[in-house]
Amino acid sequence: MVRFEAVGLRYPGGGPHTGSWGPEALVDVTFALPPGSFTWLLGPSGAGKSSVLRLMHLALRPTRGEVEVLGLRSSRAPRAALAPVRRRIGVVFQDFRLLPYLSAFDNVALPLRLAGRPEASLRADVNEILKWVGLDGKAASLPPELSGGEQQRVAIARAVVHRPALLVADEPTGNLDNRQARRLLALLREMNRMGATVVVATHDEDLVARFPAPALVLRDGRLHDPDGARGIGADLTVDRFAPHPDAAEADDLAPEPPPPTAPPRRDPDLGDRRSPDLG
Amino acid sequence: MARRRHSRDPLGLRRALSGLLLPGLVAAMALLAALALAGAQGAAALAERWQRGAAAAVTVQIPDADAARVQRALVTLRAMPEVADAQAMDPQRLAALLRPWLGAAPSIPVPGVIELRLRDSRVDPVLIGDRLAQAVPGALVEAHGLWVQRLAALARSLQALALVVLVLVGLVAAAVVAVATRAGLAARRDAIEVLHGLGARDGDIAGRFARRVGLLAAGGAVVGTAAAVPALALLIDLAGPWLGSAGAMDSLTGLPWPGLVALPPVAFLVGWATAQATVRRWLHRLP
Repeated sequence: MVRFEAVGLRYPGGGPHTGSWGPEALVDVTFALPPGSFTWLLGPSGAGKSSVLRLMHLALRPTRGEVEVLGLRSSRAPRAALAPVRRRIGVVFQDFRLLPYLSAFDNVALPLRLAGRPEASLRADVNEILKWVGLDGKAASLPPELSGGEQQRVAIARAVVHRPALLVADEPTGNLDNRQARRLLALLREMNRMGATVVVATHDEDLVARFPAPALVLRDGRLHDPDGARGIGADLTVDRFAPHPDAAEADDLAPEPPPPTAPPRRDPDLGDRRSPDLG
Repeated sequence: MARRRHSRDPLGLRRALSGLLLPGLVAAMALLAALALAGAQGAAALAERWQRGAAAAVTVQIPDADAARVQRALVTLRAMPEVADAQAMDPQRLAALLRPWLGAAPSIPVPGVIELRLRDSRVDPVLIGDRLAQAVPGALVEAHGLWVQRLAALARSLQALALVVLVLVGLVAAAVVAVATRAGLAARRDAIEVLHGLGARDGDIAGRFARRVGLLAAGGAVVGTAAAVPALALLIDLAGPWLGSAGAMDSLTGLPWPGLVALPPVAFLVGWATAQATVRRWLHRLP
């Protein structure tokens, strides 16, 4: 599903847009995430969390080592091979990256239109996913007319509307208050329950404490792995949500509309995407 | 309604690539191209017509022509090194040419006419005439054809120049389109990165730019060509006396219509291809 092997990454000149090569932002990062897993990506600012995520959603290629995402080895794959894999990945950015001149509906519909879905069939799907994130009344609104939390929910709707096999989120709760952050995590967890592999980078330890799950911890561009438990071969398949369903969590989730058990789409073919061959 | 409109334009190119600058510049260039086209056609017609007139670059008239005098003149002329060819004009053909003026009266004496072709049009025909007059007294050399030949050469070079102008206009148009496309890329950089991140192929993004730019260029070309038509019609009216002896030529039918009609599609293609190349090269900076 997602496999990093001795990955090193350098940015040009220490920043993305200057001349020579800077120091290694990532050093010998090695891990593997099995299909259907939920993983936290933790570490202080500047530790390389965003770099790991950008390698995962193919916005970067490794300087050395190998990154394998959904069966594609990105270090040497031809450029044209990356686009189809990107279409199977959903990304939630801290700054949303919505297109400000498109309505919420059109922003969410983008991945389906890029995949060539006919207009008639995508309308129902987009409306359903907007309902799932609680924005069914705001489909025609432009992003600048929405609150931060609403924009974040549009961003997540866009990330999941095409049922990605891999969903990565970079500090998705950075702009949200606690309640909205918990709600966002419930949505991500719901996607994970339906089969997507989910990776969430955050420095919000409260959130991690509420939703315990396997974690990759980065420090100074290296995987912080004191007990050697998270490298390749480590058992990350254990769903740590299950062992910790304490009452406090249940209370937090209960009042959240809409009910997280409702599948976002009811197309019969979507059931297939949930089968274990996602990886 | 607004949503429908935007859904087909996820890059917001209607706003990023809008305004009158690009169509205006392309319109000006289409105007220049139309002028060059008309110039090329006009020069070609003049050259063609003058070339025909210059077929007999030099003619020799032999008064009181009898077969012996004409024969003597032919022999003398053919012996000259600068003469490539000398042919006596058939008296019957001559009579037919002159009939409209002289009627069918065989009694009027008609001079013998010899058509000369020279090896080099820069030779002074007066010298030929002087030498010929020694052998055949009274022979006259008429050299207007030489001037016509030189004019025809001038017209041919004007035609070539017009074609060079046409190519230059095309190149400048491509450069203008490239600059406009880069401005559009800069304005929509974030949107392009979002679409790229969502898995849009280079062809998807480049195609959107290329269609938009191509349409703007074609629109500009339509305006520019339409503006050129009255000016060209006027010019053709003025050039009429040199072009058509018939005089009945309508100035509008004299325009280079195939070329003019082709200008907007060509502008679309230039805009489309330039935008494709510019956007694809730009996209290669993204992984």
